[in-house]
Amino acid sequence: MTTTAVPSLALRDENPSGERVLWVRLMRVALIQHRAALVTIFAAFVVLVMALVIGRDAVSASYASYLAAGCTLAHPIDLQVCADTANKFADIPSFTPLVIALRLFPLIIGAFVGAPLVAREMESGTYRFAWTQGVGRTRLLLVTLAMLALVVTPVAVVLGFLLGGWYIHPYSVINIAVGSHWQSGLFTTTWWMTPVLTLFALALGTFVGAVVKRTVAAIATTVVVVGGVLVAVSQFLPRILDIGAVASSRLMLSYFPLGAIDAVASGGVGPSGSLLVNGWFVGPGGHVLANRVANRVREHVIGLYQSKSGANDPGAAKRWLALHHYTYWFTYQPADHFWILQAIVGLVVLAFAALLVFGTVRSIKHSRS
Amino acid sequence: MNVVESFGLGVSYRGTWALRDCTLAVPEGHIVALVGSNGAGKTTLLHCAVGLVTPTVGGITVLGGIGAGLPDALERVAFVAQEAPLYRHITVRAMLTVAANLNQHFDRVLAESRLASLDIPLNRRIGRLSGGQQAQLSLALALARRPELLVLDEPLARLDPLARHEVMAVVMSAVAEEGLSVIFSSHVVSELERVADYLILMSHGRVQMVGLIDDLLSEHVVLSGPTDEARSVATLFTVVESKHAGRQTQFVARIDRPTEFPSGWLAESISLDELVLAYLREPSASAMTGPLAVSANRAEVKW
Repeated sequence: MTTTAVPSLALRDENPSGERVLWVRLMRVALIQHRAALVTIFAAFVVLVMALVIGRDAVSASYASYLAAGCTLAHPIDLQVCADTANKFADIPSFTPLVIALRLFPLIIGAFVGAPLVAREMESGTYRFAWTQGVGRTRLLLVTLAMLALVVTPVAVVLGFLLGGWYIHPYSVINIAVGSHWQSGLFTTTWWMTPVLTLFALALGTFVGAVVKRTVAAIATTVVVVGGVLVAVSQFLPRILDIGAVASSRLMLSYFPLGAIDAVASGGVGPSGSLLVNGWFVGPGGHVLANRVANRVREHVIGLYQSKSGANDPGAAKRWLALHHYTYWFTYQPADHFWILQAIVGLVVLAFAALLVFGTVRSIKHSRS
Repeated sequence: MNVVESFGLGVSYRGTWALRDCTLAVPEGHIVALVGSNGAGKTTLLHCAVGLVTPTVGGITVLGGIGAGLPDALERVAFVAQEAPLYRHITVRAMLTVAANLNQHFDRVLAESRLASLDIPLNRRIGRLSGGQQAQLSLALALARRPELLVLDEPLARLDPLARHEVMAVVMSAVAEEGLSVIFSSHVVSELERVADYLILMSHGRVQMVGLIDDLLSEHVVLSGPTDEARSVATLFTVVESKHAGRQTQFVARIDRPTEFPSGWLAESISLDELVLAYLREPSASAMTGPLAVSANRAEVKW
């Protein structure tokens, strides 16, 4: 074996300023180390973009036929085309696999990019190399997370934008009350909430990986936890949307829904484009009516509202309610609250993501594997 | 300057002490062999020294008082972990890029020339290198950082005799040329004497013996004599280990001061192998005869 002549220690490059390794150099390390994760992101992105573009083209073609058949005019040229398009579009918003796939995008990133980030280092033992280099483990983790966040964020924004543009036509054809961007599947897949939930899932997956320290177990745990969070967000969205809702008793609805409504107001049943959140009756003395009583009142008022001639008669309903000192109240989110609520929910989720990153840093700092 | 200094160091994993009451000082410029049975706490001590493990109690500093694991320490201490864990899915060249970008100081030319001299191709995936080549790559990466302290955890464990020789030759060469201090743990006691000049012996999570190997060997002897005198002779020395075979008794004894041996007793010098085994067989024995110069001025310690 030959040995290499080595300059003396005195020639060692000194660093009296205490200068640290540049973050650009750490980015390069992260790119090399996490190539597989980046390929996963890119593959998921390409598949989803292709599906969205193909789906959007199909929807656009149907909508072009819908316009050509004069379906938006008072006297359509081809009623069959109008009916077929409306039927086809009615099924799209809530069941499309694309919406489901986009809702799963954060889960994919959390499980296959976030979870292995620390877990694989711990499992393979390479943390003993990575964490003993000059840069230090905290800085390495934060730069790696930042690099991955820089990659997934624009990807998620693009996907959210594409989905948003995709379902406009179906909603313009079918009754808007059937669904809208207020409702859970689409509320959480906007160009803002998709990256927010993706970053949250990335942070959560990384935290789980740092705690579990085994790659497959971390992936499985992340799938369960992120999946649970996404379902919980869907389930609790109506309650979240109650925050800052406007209460009104001035408008008269046609069906007097009680409790959580979660429907888009249209056709004179509420402020256009707003989301109806909750409905309830207040009786004489200002007390909220119990369910049993409220239901009896509701049935009676609906009977008055829908007169025998078939035409709606809100006046009769109003008069009866006033006579018996009942008031129908409901809350709604005006259309212009949509992005405010998106921002609030998004910022809360991002705050949790930041807490998870903090937790991960603490976890690896005190790790004793 | 002490390259490693610990005081009352203890590490507990879920209530079980892996390292306990460990106070030692290792002066600079030595090749230190850290020896002990399995589970003695060697790896835990080394992990504390490089900042991978936070002590439960006590403290540990490196390079004259820098808290282990702090940025200054990380820049100046290189570590080669047991089984040389590296990113198996990337090439040797990519690994060099990773290491170069994770450190403010990294002599890539030095690393590449070392690897070239060992015929380790840069374009080969690390997972396809032999165990010896992976160990050499880990060592090359560590030495390219131009550390002041090199910490090696069982660097010889997976290697055949030829690879062991080559790895230790590289370490010795770096010590000779750069003057760095080295601490390495090993089970291969027979090879220590040729390489190391300082010994730390650990047993059951405690430091049992510390010192310059030459001093330790000169302070211990193997005494042989009649069994019926053994009891009285044993009071004259610190007996580390005793063996009785019929009418003959053999002591491994520690000589604290110049002593005349009783007539009828034969005193022989002890080999390092025998000394280490004697202490390992008697965990209650201890010898802290080395320069245990733990800094008296704790205020200077930078945590």
